[in-house]
Amino acid sequence: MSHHHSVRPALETYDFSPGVKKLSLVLMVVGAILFALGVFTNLDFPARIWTTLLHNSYYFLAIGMTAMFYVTAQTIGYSGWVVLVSRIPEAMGGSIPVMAVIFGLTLIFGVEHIYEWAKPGAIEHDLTGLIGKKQPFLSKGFFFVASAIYLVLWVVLTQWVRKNSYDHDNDEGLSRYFTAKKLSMLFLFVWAITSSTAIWHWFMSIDPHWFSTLYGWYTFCSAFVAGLAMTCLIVIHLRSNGYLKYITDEHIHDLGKWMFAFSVAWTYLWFSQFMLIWYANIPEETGYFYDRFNNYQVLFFANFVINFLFPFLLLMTARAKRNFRLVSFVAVMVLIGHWIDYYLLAFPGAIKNSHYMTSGAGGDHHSMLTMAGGGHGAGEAVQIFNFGIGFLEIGAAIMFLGLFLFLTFSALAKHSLVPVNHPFLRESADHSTHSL
Amino acid sequence: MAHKYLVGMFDDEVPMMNAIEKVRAAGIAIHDAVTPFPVHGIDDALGAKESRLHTAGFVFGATGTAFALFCMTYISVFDWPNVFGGKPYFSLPAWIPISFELTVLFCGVGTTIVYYLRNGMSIFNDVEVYDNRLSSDRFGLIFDLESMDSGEADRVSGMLRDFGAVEIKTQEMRNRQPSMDEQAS
Repeated sequence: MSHHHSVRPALETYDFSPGVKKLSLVLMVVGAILFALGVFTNLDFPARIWTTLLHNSYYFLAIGMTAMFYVTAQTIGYSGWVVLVSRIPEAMGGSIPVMAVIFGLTLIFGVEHIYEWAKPGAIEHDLTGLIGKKQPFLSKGFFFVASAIYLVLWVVLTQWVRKNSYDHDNDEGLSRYFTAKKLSMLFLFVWAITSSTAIWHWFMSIDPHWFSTLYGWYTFCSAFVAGLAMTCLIVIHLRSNGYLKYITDEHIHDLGKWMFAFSVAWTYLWFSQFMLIWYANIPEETGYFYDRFNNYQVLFFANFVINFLFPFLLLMTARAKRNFRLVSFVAVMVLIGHWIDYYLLAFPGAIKNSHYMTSGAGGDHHSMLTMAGGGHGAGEAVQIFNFGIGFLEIGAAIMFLGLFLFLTFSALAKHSLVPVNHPFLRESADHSTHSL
Repeated sequence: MAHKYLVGMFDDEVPMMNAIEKVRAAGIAIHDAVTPFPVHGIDDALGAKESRLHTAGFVFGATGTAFALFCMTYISVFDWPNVFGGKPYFSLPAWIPISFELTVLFCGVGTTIVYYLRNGMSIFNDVEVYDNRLSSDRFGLIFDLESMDSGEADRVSGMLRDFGAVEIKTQEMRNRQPSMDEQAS
């Protein structure tokens, strides 16, 4: 076989294909209709509506953010093979500003519906006194200032990294490359800290009495696998439609390896968190799993099976990672799986909290008591712990997916699919692990 | 049982890769290739059989998992059941880390042992090397002289010289050495 046959990939433009445009618009419209239907049937349960928005807007924001994490981490790692792929995660990063705005608005208008600690009189109602002790962390002022800082930093830094990369196309030489290195370091430094602290505010504080030191890594891994899965799907879609002709089985193989490896990393963290809490058996900590295990049993196990067993067993062999159909199938499964993972982060706590504050008849602290007893308060209807996944959740997911695809493919169509002046471009085109 | 090999040595991987391609195209069987570091793409170029070492690794790993779970189940459920922290006798989640560790241990140690047994470098073998510099700065292609007559051996030597071999020698070994395909299976 010959080893010196490569040519430097040339500039390649992508036209937003009418099929994808139509698909993303249809998804948005159908999703919006289902979502509206869900809203009208759940007007009595605003917590469910707002948590749905929080769940979906954060999930797709996080997919964009982890895509940018992927690009920047590869940049400072001197990674050569990924260069031909990099424009796809960069385009996914193009959805960040819009998603951040939607997410920010959800926080502003939904805060009292989602977070127990944000409801009026939360500190006085809290029998454990923990919400009071966790001031000022669990206060609206701190929450909004911190959230604004996170979102602004994320939007500014990711768009700066993207702009620098696109500008490199019209600027020969290496200065943009060195700028990319510096920007990547800056972004990764900020992301390393804020990806953890932001999720404490936005998701962990939904269960204000509970805490986990693994939470930041675990939720990051969850979103990262979803980001990688979305990258795989878009790359395979473009490759199958005649674009990105320099992307070979080798690149798909490596993307598959990332998806496989981080599915295992996610499982490691998920299990570490579960096992330590299960073993120590401290009520303050086990309450989190007690709720999910008893009231969300199907989703609880589906989460583990879809996000661990599927990628682990299906993507184990080298041949499987080169099979476009199999990689696509696993990618779709883990995208659904991690959506369920985030659902389980947000919903059980938020739904429980909503009862805590709205059904006042049984006294101020009844929810703490009925939680264990199955909700047979005096003269009350049986307490709902789990709304399941209905029109509302599915509609929102479809709507946000459509929006995400629309934004990503519009960003893709604005610039070359090939970063023509990147110094590692040839290396990426020559990439081979010779494993099959 | 003495056995003779023809060793063609190159001072760089590029002429060696080129020589591999040409020699194979001429229909000559390469017994083995020895390089000081892993060379990208050499498996493809040599047409080497895919190693079965990873299958051995999987079997050892599965043995480790089964052994760990069997031991812990026997000890904690049947032989000496004790209640720890209110947990059931069969407390699977707590055993996962130990099962994982034994899987890695069995897989690592077992694969290493099989690796040395198969490539003839274990403590049970009379270990010989074709040339000391093959682990330093020379890239060697090995041909089995017992399976070719002197005319063919001269032809191979000539080809190697043409493709840039810096040294070509006949090495007599005390024992027959396993070929690359024998090492892989």
